[in-house]
Amino acid sequence: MSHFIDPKLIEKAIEGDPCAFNEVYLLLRNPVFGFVNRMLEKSAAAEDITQETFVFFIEHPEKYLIERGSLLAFLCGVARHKIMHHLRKHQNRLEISVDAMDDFIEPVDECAQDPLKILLDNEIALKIEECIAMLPPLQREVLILREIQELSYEEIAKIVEANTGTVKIRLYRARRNLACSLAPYISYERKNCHAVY
Amino acid sequence: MQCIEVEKWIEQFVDDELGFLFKKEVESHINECRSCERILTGIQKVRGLLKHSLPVVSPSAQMDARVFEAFNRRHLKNKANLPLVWRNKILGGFAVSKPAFALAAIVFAFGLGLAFQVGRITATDVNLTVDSRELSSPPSKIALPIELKEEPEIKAEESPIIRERVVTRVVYVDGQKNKEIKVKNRSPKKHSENFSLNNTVADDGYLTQANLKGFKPASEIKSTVIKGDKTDAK
Repeated sequence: MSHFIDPKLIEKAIEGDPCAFNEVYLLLRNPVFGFVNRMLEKSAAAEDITQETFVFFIEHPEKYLIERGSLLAFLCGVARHKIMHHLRKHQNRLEISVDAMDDFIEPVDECAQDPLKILLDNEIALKIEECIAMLPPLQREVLILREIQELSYEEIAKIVEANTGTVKIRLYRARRNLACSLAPYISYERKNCHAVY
Repeated sequence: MQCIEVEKWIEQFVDDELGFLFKKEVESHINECRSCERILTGIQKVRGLLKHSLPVVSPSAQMDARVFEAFNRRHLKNKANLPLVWRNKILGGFAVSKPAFALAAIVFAFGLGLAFQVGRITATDVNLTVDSRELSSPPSKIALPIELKEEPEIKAEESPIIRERVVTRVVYVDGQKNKEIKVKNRSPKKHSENFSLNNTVADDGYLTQANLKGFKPASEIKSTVIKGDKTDAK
């Protein structure tokens, strides 16, 4: 999934060319909304925040500098600020420390079923969404940005305002937690499942 | 290499971020160790599921509309402040410089003046007896008592003023016959008066001139273009 956009197209969109803006918007609308939606699990709030993110870009285009990274990374950064504000407001699990290493997610005991059959089922997508939603926000965001949006570690580090080492640690923990949650579906040995927060 | 060490580096191994030699070491261990191989398979499966199993979520069309509304609001507001060349570029699809625009305006004004001069219309003075007291009543067919006279010898610079009046009822007097009738104005308005008319017929409360000899209906009147000097027109 590549989100490369010609810088000239972005410049035209910033100057007010409606065709260029339409093209840029259609390329970035779903990735930004996908990120916000998975972070918030609430469609209505997700739409509001996605809209606010694009409106921010429309009204403050000077804040985006092409040499500092992709436009998707910039928009995800703007969206992240709004997401964190929303989560703080609604007292979500943001306060969970990334150093709380002893927490453990009990793997779902669905080994009795045929995991291969379940894998082939479309419902696996729902299960993955559930498992992503169970992750703490700081792990969830790096996982989505890396695995779904395919941004680089450097871009993710700028978005989450941390260094690349921290990003890698959070990503490692997120992957391990997700692997534990999805263990019945991927033949992942339970003895290896040690969820980390 | 121990399993615990491989497990520590296995994510970087999947990301292809290890050095060549270290990567080979981890790879050889995974090839020999079934447990580590399962872990690697599990990680790859999780990544594959994340990339390929999740549906693409899209926002609603209402959100798209709101974003485009914000875009239009922002950029329509800015158009008024743009320089002339850019404004023309946006509005007309091509750039027009200031001198070219001024030249085009002069040519257009000159053409307009020329067209007006060519299209001048003259007409002889018309003596109309107008009953303007019935302006609120519906109009009837009007015939104008104009005899067109071509006067090529007259040279006037100024075109005569075209007088126009909206009337609802015009009554003409034919001087050849002296059949005179007395008419009383039936208007409910205050300005009622009596006056005389020749050759009139009464229809639906109105008096209309009949048998208009030497008169032409207005639709048949053709305009005459004349050229001349100012003094002659007077």
